[in-house]
Amino acid sequence: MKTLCFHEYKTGRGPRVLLDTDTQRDGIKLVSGLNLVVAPNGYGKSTFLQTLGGLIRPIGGRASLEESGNIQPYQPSEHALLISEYLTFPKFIFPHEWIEFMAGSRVDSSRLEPHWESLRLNALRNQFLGRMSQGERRKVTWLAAHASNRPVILMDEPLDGLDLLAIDAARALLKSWEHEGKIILLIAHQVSEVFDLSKQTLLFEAGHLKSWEKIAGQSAEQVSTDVFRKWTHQYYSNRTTLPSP
Amino acid sequence: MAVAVLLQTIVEQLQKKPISLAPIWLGGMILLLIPGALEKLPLPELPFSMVRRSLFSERFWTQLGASSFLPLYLRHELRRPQTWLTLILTVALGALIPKERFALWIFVAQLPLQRGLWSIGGWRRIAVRTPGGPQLGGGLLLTAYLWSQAIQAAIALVAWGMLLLLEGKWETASFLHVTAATFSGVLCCAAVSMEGDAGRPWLVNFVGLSVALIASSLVYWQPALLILSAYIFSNLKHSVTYRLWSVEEFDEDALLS
Repeated sequence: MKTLCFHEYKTGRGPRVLLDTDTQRDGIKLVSGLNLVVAPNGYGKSTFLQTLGGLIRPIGGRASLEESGNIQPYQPSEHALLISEYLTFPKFIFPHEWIEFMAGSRVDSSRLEPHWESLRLNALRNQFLGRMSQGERRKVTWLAAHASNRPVILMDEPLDGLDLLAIDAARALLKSWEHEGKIILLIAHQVSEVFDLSKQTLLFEAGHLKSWEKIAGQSAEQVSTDVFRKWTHQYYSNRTTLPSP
Repeated sequence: MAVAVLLQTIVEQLQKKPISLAPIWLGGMILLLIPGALEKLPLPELPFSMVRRSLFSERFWTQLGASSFLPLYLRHELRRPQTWLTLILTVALGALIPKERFALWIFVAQLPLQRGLWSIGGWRRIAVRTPGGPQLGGGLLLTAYLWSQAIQAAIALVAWGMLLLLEGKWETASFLHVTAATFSGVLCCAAVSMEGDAGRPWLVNFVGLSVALIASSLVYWQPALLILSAYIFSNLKHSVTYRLWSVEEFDEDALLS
């Protein structure tokens, strides 16, 4: 099983450290399957994701990708695909061209074939991205993530704008990535759609990542989303100030 | 200001009398709005595809130095109606140039270059998302802009050359000089396309116009200097590594038309 481990890994904007993560100290590492991040706005979730995605340089420390005793330095450009909350698209590009670009390699079309249908994109294959709605373009990015052969997928609010059927298709993709051993780090404010799929739920506390499972002594299989929602609401209500490690 | 000083000399030569800098500077500002307006024109899609789907997917294109970003940029640029409208205007203006003043093509050829620069800022957001984008995105964008503009310059030159032949104005030596000068302008304009706060409109347009005019004029005078233009491009391409680290404002949805 692949894991992403942190070694005094500090992320933030400019000199301000928003998050300080260390696997040995905090016992936090990202595991194969869905790692769900839940925290209020401004805690540094997107900054953490963008740093792991290579858009921002870490303020300090490093990360490593580990599998069966094999440890290699984590390189965002090689290992990660970042799906940002905000999406910029060129108007005159076909969906499969965009998928190929995002995946960064030749795409195995047979791998994508069933998902064109489940995401209801079949009729849009021959349309430019500029003619699609924002939700349809987001579905194309889900296909691009599926086409990518990188082991780490970072998704910032990827469910925004998706319809009910597309959310079901996206859930199926998340499950298939887990079977393939991919590490998925996903930020979602509407946790109800994916909470039950999570292998690990991460919370922010005073500038450190904490495992909800360890704090609450429960797992996603044991509690309903409503219970989790109330729990996190209470957890963050008691923490009124922004974190500073 | 550099453009204004350059243009002042040229206008003085043409008018055979001194002229103040202010109207030239103001004229330059207004002239730069023309490619900006062309770039932003809300034109409908072309009724037929100028670029077939598989074009630019050959390995040759990814090996030109801009990875999967180059095919994406080229396809988009050559499918846009704005690109073709600008090329048609360029060739039409070229057709108005009298036989004894072929060098004026250097100015006409700035139109597609300047139009392309108006959208460089938007493309940064896509370039940065290529693998290794924050480090290499600046260079990828610079290379993609170069190839796109080189293709457009070649198309414009061929069309203009055909018009010259039809009109009986063809002159091989002058045309070769102009061709070298055009590609020198393309190389040098591409070389500075990540300057001006990493390709911000207006700033990069001024820088690009100055550099392209100087480079084109020098190569028109001495075509061998084209090698120097290629060297400048190669040199500046390597200097823009990490340029996109400093560029923020990626956090917004956008559709690059």
